[in-house]
Amino acid sequence: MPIQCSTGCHKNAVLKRPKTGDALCKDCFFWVFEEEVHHTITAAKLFTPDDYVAIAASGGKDSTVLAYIMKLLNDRYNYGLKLVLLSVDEGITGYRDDSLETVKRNEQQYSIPLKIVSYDELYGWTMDRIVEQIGLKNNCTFCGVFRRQALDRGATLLKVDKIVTGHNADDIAETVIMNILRGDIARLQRCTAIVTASEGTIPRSKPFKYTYEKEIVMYAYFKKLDYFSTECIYSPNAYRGYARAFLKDLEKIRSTSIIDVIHSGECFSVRDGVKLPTQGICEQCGHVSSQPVCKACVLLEGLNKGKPRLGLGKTSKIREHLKRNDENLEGVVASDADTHKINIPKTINIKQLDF
Amino acid sequence: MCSVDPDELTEMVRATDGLDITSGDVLCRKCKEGMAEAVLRGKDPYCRDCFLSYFEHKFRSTIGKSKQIRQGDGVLVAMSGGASSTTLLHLIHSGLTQNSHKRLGFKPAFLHIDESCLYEESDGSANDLASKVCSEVMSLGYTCYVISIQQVMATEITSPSVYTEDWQQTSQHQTNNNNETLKKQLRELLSSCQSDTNRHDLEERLRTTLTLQCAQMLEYKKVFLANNSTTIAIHILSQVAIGRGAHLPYHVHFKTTVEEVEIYHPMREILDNEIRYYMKFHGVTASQTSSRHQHQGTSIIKCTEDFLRGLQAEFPSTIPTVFRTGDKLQLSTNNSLGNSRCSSTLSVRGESEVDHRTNTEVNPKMKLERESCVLCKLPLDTDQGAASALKATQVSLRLSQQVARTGGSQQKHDGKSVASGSANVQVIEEAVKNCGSSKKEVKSSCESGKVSAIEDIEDSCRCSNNTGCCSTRNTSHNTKQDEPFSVDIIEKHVCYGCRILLRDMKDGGLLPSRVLKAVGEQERRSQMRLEIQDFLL
Ligand SMILES: [Zn+2]
Ligand SMILES: [Zn+2]
Ligand SMILES: [Zn+2]
Repeated sequence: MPIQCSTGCHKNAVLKRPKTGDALCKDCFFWVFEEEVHHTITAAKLFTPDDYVAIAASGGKDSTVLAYIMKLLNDRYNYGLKLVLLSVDEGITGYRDDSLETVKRNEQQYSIPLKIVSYDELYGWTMDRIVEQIGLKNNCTFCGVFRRQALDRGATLLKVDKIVTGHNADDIAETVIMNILRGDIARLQRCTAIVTASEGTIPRSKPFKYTYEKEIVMYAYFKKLDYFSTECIYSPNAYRGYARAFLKDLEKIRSTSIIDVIHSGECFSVRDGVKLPTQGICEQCGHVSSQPVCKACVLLEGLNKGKPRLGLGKTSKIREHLKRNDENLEGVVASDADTHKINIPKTINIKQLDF
Repeated sequence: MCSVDPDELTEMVRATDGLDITSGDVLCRKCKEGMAEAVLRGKDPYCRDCFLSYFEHKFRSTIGKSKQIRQGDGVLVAMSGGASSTTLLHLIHSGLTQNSHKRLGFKPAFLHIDESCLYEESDGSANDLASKVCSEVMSLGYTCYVISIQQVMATEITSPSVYTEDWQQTSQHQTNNNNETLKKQLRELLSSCQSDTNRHDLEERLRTTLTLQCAQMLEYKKVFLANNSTTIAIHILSQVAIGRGAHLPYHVHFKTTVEEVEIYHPMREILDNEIRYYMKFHGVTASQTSSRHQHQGTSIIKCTEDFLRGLQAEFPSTIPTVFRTGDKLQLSTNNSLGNSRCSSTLSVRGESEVDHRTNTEVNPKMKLERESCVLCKLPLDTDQGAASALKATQVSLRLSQQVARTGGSQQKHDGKSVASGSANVQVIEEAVKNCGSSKKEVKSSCESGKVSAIEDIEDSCRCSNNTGCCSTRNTSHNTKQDEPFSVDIIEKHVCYGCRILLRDMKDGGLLPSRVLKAVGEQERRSQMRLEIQDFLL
């Protein structure tokens, strides 16, 4: 006996919404999914008419569905946005080749123009060459720092007003937990903001902030959207791995856990007197940085001098210094942690989307 | 997209194999003389004396540096009989009896909540716990109060009794000879929770409520809770997981104030393995050793505890780090926490700042005072603006249950502008509000003209232009079982986390009568505010 769609449309349900548990038919699911993203966009006033908006496109499911839905909602509700796909080519053999092909197809399918910026073009280094220098252990640091700036640099190049990324509710809940585990108070504060922006940077927003990852997959599946499924071929980070596993366990017990965690995150407020990194501008490249010289420039300098580890070492000294200052204020428990020498980053590249 | 954090230089330092001191020839790292008997942080050996002075120093400095506890202050210490509170008892006792200038000067009394009614134990072992805990306190020369958890259901606040062997035959149970009724009500309330998570969560809320009420009855302004660093860290993560992140400061900070009672966490800097050493060296045993108090089943609280303890075993800085993270948070003083954050720390462009403000759909005049949750007594966290997890959830529920058919047509003709887009959202939100009433059948009792408490209140308010009939009405409301508040009405006056509880239990009428009374009061106040809002500046 087929289950009826819970909206009362008299069609048979084909799926159970992970978010609410309701059984829906395909059409109603599409509609609900789209309306919810539209609600997020309008409630948070993410755009104003005539905005030029770059969609961070990786070829993965989140950004593919994002591109599709941005186009669809822009047409349906006359947002009046000019859209562009912005992709980053890290220069990892075999990793981006296929995903960039996907993005190029998306360009055709959704008729949104595409701009690809490469690490080589922006930094003079591809990830493959960086890996040759640094080995596999720290390459993700390079990859991520460079990618964030690449997106900003590319966006600046295109003179866009706003950037949207495909981060979904699962990503955000996971980040909240991760930042609690590693004691990153500054990012804990910021990671639930739907828009991140600071002086002189292009605001970034997350229209999928309240959208479950599973529903994005469902949407892509039933819409038969063309995306490239890939994981970074290099190692994942430990904290995120634990946070993810924990969140999955929570979800098994209570399906609304993801949104509950985000609600918790939205309510956080940092105590007066807790020092948060101040943001300034990088002396070398002019991008926003919490240090005199931004992370990308430090890493780049190390690479160019043939001492790729330099960048890592140097900043960690700065961090150690900051950490000591912090702990004087923290009292006994803090000194406990200190003796464990956990390397908690206190410096953050502020301009970034804070994951 | 690679999700790796670019600034991820964080190395999680794995536990080493752990220092082995069993050989007996490892020396204390502090005095370098004594034989090590304790290992802290997996690697630092301490002799007994150095450990104990370190431990006591930590406890005293927590209290001392706050400068909040003064000579002669009366303090009510919550005493479950577990390891933490038993240790607290001993620390307080040795601090008060010391003959040095370091002597603690406050005046403690202890409070034990007898929870035997929550656990069906025919052998009466539950009763043993109360008498064990209380006699231990009394044997050290302190007053120990005792109250049964079911008293939280009572219509009138009951004062806890001073423990005597036949405490159950005295005062509270005699005057409220409906003890069995209260027990039954409490069990009914708890069993109406569909999940272990909610049942454990609710038990905790009730325990806290009762502790607060006892402090108020006994006129203690200060309460000590024995939560230690480890349990607090677990609490931080589990509260975040169940949507209670807004209230973390109440569980972490040394001092917080709830309903004018100051709550302190004097054990907050002590880890539970340190407590184990302390108890071992002093030959102290906890009365409550069974895991009865701990959470069984598949609750989120249990799941969090397992996760964090597991991680701690591998990475010894996990729990201190989580603790410190929680300690850096404060209760937002702003009504719209999200908005204040955007403008202050993110310096969002002026334009969006304004947008955010206009977004808040609640009339600022309506928010003259910050309401507290009627259930957990902590500030409401449900006013997060239009772009929030709470709103998003309401929209989701609404959309996937009703609108779709109209939506199909909407797709075609709703092609206007962004502005019309947000108007559409407004419509949806209206619908969300209304949907509450049509969806839940309970509400229909209010609408179908039956005499309900709400109507009573409205009536009494209407006629209140002459005398204080409101207040007389109010007291007559107390009588149990005539408060047909719908879940929707109660929901307005509870926090995000308590809403989850409420939705789960379906029948809000099972809640303690004093909670329902508070709903009536707050409901009436918001009615009044509505009436006078145009005249408020
Ligand atoms: Zn990577
Ligand atoms: Zn730079
Ligand atoms: Zn509450």
